[in-house]
Amino acid sequence: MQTELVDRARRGDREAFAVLAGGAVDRLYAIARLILRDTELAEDATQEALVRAWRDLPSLRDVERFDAWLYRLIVRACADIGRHRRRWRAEIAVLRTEPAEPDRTSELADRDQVERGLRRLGDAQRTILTLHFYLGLSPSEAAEALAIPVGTAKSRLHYAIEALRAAIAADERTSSGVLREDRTA
Amino acid sequence: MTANHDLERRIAAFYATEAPSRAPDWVLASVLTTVDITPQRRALIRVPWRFPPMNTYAKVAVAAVAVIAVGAIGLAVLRPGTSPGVGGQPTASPSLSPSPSASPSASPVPPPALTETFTSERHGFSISYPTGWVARPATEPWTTGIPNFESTDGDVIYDPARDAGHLWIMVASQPQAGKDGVQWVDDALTGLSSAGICEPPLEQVSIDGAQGGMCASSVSAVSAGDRGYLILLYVSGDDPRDAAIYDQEYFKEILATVQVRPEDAVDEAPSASP
Repeated sequence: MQTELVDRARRGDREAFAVLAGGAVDRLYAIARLILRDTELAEDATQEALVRAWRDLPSLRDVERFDAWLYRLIVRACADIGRHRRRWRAEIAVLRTEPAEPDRTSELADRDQVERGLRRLGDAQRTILTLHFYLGLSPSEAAEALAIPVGTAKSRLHYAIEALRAAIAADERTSSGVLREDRTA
Repeated sequence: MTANHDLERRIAAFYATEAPSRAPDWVLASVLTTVDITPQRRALIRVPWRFPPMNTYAKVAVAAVAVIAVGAIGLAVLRPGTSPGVGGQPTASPSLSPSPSASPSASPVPPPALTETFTSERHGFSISYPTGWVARPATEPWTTGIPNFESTDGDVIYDPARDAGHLWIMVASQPQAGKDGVQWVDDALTGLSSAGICEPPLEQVSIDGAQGGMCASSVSAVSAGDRGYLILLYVSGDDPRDAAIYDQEYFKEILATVQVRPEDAVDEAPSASP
């Protein structure tokens, strides 16, 4: 069904493309939000990816690879938007995120800690984590979406996990420091 | 290993509980409005998603051919007095002022020169690195695991102009603990492969006389005396241009500057201050 729609859209059928876009927009938006951690930028990236998809559809060789191709487009759109964002990232870096509230459940606090750790990572690291842990792509599938060698995808995944581990540890140090300051105040 | 699995479980749990985001309706509406007025690009030739890997020399050669081709076409079109018109009649159009020729800037950006030198007090080596990069010496011995950007057991040299942890060189060494050099290198490369850091194919490498192996993903393990050395160049890929600049050829240039001095290495942890 989808391959037929893709084939029609590839030949310029806007109605077919509207069906495809409607089926993909939420998924692409979710990916963009996880990578960019910003609602408005994710909206921009989603629009950019879908318009690029329409414009470049005739160059898609294998209609069966439409989903993987879309992932590549959303990753690229996020990378482009992320590059512009880095100019002012230093400003938000000094905005300290609030530590987990002590009365929350440990599960929620744990989730918040991972969330804050992810915010400390770069877009490329969040991208590989999103592809692997959210979409469930294998390293070779993620490599295809990112247009990089499989080994590079594996390496990037390894270092992204290590960077997240370090970010969480740094967050714990910051949180405990804040708590100490609160007690002494 | 348990810690690794625990963190991966936490990441997976985080993504599993991440509420499915529904895009605002106007996003799709906006896309479809744009699509209505946007023509598709014609695909005369369907190109592959990515080209086969090329080494630096091949890239330079392709770029040179492209520059020559552009220049030749430019000359054919712009050269005065060679109008392709039948009979060679001079045209009445105003003469073309000298126009810029194809710019040589089309060639790939060269990788930064290795002009600075870092000498490791702890791990026993020296290495050259690019101007502007910053060296952060290790503060404790490397005993286990694989040092990374955040850890303090490897000497890290990084580009401060980039986001932290996106472009860096790391070197660490440790005693071979009774293993011979071949066994240490073999174990190190196996560990790197298991971690997904060592991409095949492997090739033999000699660094300042120290023998070992190098992965295609710019990671190398060598043995000198009774010490094993791990050297890697990490490129995050945030900037797509980096892959062409900081490639394996560049890594080999870096390796060629390394001088190993196992006798100078220090394995004791810093003593606690009184």
